[in-house]
Amino acid sequence: MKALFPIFNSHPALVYLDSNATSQKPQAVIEAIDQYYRSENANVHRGVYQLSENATRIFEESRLRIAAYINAESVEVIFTRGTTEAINIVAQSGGQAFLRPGDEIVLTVCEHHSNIVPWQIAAERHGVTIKYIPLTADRRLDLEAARELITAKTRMVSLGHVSNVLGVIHPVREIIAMAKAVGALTMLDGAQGIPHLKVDVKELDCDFYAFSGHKAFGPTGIGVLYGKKALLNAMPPYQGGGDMIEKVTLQGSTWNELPSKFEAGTPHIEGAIGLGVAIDFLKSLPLEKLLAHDQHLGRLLTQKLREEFPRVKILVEPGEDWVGTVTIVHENIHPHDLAAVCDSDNIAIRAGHHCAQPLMEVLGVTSTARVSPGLYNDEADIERFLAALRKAEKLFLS
Amino acid sequence: MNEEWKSLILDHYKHPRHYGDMKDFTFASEQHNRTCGDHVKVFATIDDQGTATFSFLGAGCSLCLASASLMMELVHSQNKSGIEAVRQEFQNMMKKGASPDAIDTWKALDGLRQYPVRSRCVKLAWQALDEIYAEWNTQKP
Ligand SMILES: Cc1ncc(COP(=O)(O)O)c(C=O)c1O
Repeated sequence: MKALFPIFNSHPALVYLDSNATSQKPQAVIEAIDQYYRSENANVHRGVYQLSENATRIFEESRLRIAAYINAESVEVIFTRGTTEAINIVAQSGGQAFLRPGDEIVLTVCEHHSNIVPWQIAAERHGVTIKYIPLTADRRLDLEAARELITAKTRMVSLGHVSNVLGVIHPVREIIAMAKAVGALTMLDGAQGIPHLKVDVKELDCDFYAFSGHKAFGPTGIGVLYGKKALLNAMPPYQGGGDMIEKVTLQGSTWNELPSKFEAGTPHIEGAIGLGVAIDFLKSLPLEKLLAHDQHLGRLLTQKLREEFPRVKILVEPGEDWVGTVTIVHENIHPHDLAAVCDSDNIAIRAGHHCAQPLMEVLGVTSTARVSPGLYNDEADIERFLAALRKAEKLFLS
Repeated sequence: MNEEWKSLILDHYKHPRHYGDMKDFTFASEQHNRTCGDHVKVFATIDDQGTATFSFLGAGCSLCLASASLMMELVHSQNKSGIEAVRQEFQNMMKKGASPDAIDTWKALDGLRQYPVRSRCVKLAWQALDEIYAEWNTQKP
């Protein structure tokens, strides 16, 4: 697998264990973007000349492939800058359309800031209260508590498909069912879902699904908002500008149809094309086997940490509902220092609050170190990390 | 980083100088690094001669705490103009690096500059010093 990712040609010694932050890019994605600028570049939806028509065709074909992959209609696939923008569209435009004073939004305590802050802004604007589903002792969502929190007052339930810090795959079907039972709308933050799980939005039956290209082998700056057509049609535009209008006069404007209504301005054309190729790549992968591979590496690391490093606290218990992410706190070594020692050995891990400060508070820590394996990692990478940890202990504990 | 400075930094991290609480201080400033939860609190007591006694408390990574400890060595027992000179020197050093004939303390701090992503860790104690200095300046003589 490593051979498909040119970054490892440029950095043969690199041990990349930060896939939850962003994935490395396969050759095919890099080539598609290169090819676009070398021989296909033109603006889309505008020119009547061949080059522009061709650019429009490959841009729109990319949308079709993404839609087919997640089992959506192509008009339900809105290109965004990423997960963050996708959630902001729903919180702002959807907030305007669907939220009324006294309503409640239900989130969870383990959300990424991008699935908290947009709702806090919307809540303030519309006089809405936010409630958070807590965790159980084993760091899984507390479904009992969820049942109590999701009530007739709930208008929107939004949660991560997979937690970026804990790597836990949330029981989204159960929660979506609870939301449906009370007539609430549902949104999934799929930033960590798409890279690991086969996503079928019809089968999930969520109203909205957001993801970023860059965490799923695609380029940065591009992502997708999936929304059910009727809901997207009921929402006002998010931004005004070119492409999103049907007719503009000095007195006012009317909106274009989906998906253009939510895509003001020249889009991230090469990003969308690259994302289409990344989705082809995902489609070609045996995702279940790769999930088992990441789980295996995460389990191996967890087990070795338990055996050899009593000073390391492991914040999540491996399980079948988990993508192999190992988040730790060392009793005596600050996560930044651990990451810096790893870096000096060419090992990339993440240290910090992982854009989930509320979760850090729930876990009773200020920051953690996170190892998130991907398909290009193997057992030797785990050994390299353990060696770096030994080195850090020697440096800081002696 | 040069091994000599690296071990000096580790030494300051493991054995921070002037570490501890201070009662009846004249000034104190607490700074937080929101990205990692690190925090440093710097205390200063000014005596009748205008000389400052410093101490600090904090929790953080090696860069953050070593920087605070190195700063202590530079500002402790200085008067106001001495502290101003140290602050200036720190600004210069962060921009251009330590001068070749600088003392070890500055060279060790210079070593911390090679982690630009962590410059907030390095600057935390110095921000506390800025605040204390500003407050000191607004006081009537
Ligand atoms: C669970 C989760 N949600 C949302 C995001 C935000 O994604 P982006 O920064 O690509 O918009 C991330 C990225 O770290 C994430 O892990």
